[in-house]
Amino acid sequence: MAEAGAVIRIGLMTPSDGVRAPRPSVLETLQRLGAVEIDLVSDVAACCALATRIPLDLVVTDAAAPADIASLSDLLGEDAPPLLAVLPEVGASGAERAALLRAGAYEAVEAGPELERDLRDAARDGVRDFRRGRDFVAATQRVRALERYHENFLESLNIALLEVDVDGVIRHANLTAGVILGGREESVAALAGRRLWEWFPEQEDGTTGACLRSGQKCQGVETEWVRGEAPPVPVGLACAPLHDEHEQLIGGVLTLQDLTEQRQFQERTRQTEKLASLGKIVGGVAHEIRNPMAIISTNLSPIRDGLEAVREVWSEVGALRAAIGAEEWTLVATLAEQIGDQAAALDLDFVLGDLPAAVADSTEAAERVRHIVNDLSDFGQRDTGHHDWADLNDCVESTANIARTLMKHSVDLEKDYATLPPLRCSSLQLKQVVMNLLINAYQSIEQRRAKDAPRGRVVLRTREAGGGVEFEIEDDGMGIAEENLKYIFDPYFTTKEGGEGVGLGLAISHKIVHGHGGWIQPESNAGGGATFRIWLPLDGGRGEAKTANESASGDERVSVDR
Amino acid sequence: MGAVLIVDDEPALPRALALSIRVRTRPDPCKVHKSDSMEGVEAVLRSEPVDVVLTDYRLGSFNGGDVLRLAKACQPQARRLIYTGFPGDIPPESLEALELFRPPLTKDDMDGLIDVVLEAVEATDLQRHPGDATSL
Repeated sequence: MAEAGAVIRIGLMTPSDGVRAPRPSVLETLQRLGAVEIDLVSDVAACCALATRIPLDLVVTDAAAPADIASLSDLLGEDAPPLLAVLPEVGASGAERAALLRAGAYEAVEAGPELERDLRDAARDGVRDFRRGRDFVAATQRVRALERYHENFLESLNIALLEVDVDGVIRHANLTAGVILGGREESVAALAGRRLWEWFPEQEDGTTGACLRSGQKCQGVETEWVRGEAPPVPVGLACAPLHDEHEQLIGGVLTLQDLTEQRQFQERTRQTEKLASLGKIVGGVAHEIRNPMAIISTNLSPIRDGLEAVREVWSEVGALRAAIGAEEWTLVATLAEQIGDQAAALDLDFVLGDLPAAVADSTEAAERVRHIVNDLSDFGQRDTGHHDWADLNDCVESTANIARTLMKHSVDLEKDYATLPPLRCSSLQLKQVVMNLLINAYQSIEQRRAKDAPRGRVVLRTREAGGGVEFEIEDDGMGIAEENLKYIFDPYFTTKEGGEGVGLGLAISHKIVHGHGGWIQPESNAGGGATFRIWLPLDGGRGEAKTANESASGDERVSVDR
Repeated sequence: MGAVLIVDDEPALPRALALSIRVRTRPDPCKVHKSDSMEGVEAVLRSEPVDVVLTDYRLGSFNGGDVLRLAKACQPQARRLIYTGFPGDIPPESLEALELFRPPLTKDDMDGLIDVVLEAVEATDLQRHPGDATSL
C-alpha cells in the first residue's frame, strides 16, 4: 500500500434505484484491502457531501452509469480522489468500459470471476498514485513556504547578506545589502553581477578575497567603504564558504555590517568614561588651580602697596630734583631727610627687596595654572579617532601632570622615561589609557593606605621594545587577586567600592590598546601592588603591507578559521 | 607686633602671606615664621613666642592636625588656624580637639584669611598684655 498502516477511506456509491445494495463481492473485496473505512452512499450528491466531510482516498462506484461518473468527476473537481468503476454486468462490452473511462473513471473493472483480483489491484494502484500526487503537492507547498520564510528572513535581517562567487562577483544580495552598498532598496537586483571589490578594493587581495578563493571562514574583518567626498562608512565583514552538491567551492556567503552606530556608541562610552575619570580628579585639579591663584591674589596686595609707596617717594624725589636744579641746598637737605623717613615708614627696603620674589612666585603660579588648564583641555578634547605621529612620553607626562594633582599628597610619582621614536597613534586615546591606569593605581594605593601604609609609590616607565614602544605603570597598592586577573578587562567588572568606578576603564583601555595593534598585560607584583605593561607598534597597528591602501582601509582586526 | 607661624609644604604661599602681613602691620610689622616640616615647626615653637599658628591641612607626610596638636602642647595660648583646599579632608572630631580660633579657612578669600590671622594675633596679644589694648 501507499502508506503502511494508514486507513484507506473509501466512498462506495451504488446506483440509487432504491433496490440494490452493493454487491457483496465488491464490498468484501474492498474490506479485504486492509485498514479501510467504507462509507456507503446512494447517489452523486451524497458522494460529494461525503467527500467534503471526509478526505477520501478512493471513490468506488458499483454499477454506476457513465453519466453518474461524469457528474461525480465534475463535482469533485481537480483534487478529487480517484474514481474506480465496477461494471454492472459480467461480460460487459468494451464500449461500456470505454464510456466509463471517458466519463472520468481511472479504471473500470468487471464484476466477473476476476473481480477480487482486478478490483484489489486497481484500488491499490489508484490509492497509491493519488496519495503520491497529494504528498507531492504538499511537499511542493512546504518547500515554497520554506523558500518564502527564508527569503523574508534574509530580507528582514538588518545585516547585509551577499552570496558571491570565488572572484567576488555578487550572485544575490538581501535588502540591507542593497541599502548599504546601493543606497536604495531598488538597487538589490542591480548589485547582482557586480564585484565586491568595487566597494572594498583592498579586500580583493586582502583577507576576504583570500578566504573566498581558499574556502576559509573569516570574521571580524573591519574595513571602511570610502565613498568619494562623503564620510567613509565603517563596515564589519565576515565570510563563510559555499559549496555545491559535489562539494566544489563555488564562493561564499558574506555578511556586511554597517558599524557606524556601533562606533558611535563605543565613542560615546569612551567619552563618558573619560568624563567620569575627570570627575575623579576634579578635586585635585581644583586644588591645583586654587593654590597658585591664592599665591597670585595674596601677592597682588603688597605689589600694589609697594607701587603706591614708590609713587609717593617718587613725587618727593621730583621735589628734590627741583631743589637741586635751583641749588636750594637747605631745601635739598630737608627733602632728602624726608625721603629717608618716608621710605623707612613705608618699609620700602623690605617691600622692594621682597617684591621681585613675589612677582616671580606669581609668574610661576600663573604658569602652573596655564599648564594644568592646557593639560586638562588637551585631555578633555572630543576624540575624533584621528591618528598622528606623537611622542608617547608627552602623552604620559601630560596625563601624569593632571593625575598628580589628585595623588601628590599620598603618592610619590617616579618617572623613568627613555627617549622614544615617534609613534603613530591617537594621543587622546592613549592619554585616556594612562589616566585610567593612574587613577586605578591611586585608588588601589588609597585602599591599602586606609589599612597600613603611610604613602604609596607609582613608577611610570617607557622604553623601546620589540620594534615598538612599551609603557609600564607599577604601583604598590592592593594588587590584583589571582582569580580576578582573567576578568579585569571585562566590561563592568570592578572590585572597587560603590561610586568609585563602574568597571569600564580597563575594558576601554584594552580596546584602545588593541585598536593600536598592541597589547596590555597586568601582573601582580611579588611585594604587593600591580604592574600594567602596554606595548604598541610604532605604526599604530597598520602593517607595511597595508600602508599602500591606508586611505581606503581602516583598522583591520581579523580572525581566520582554517 | 606679634608673631605668626605659617606651615605649608609649598613655600610660595607662606612667602606671599608673610609679605602681605608685614605690609598690613606697618609700621610695627608682625613677625612671620615659615616652615614646611614638623622639625622646623618644633624648632620655632620651642624657641620663639608665637601668637598664631596657621597651617595648611594636607602636608605630605604629616598634616595640619599634627602641627596644631604640637602647637597646643608647646604654646597653648597661641591661636590655632587651619586653611585647606579640601575642606572635606579634615575629620570633624579632630577639629573639636584642636580648639581652633575659627573654623577651617579656604584659599578662595586670601584677604579675609589675613584679616582672621591678624584678628587672632590681636586676641592673643590682648590676652598676653590685657592692659595694653591697641588696634591693628
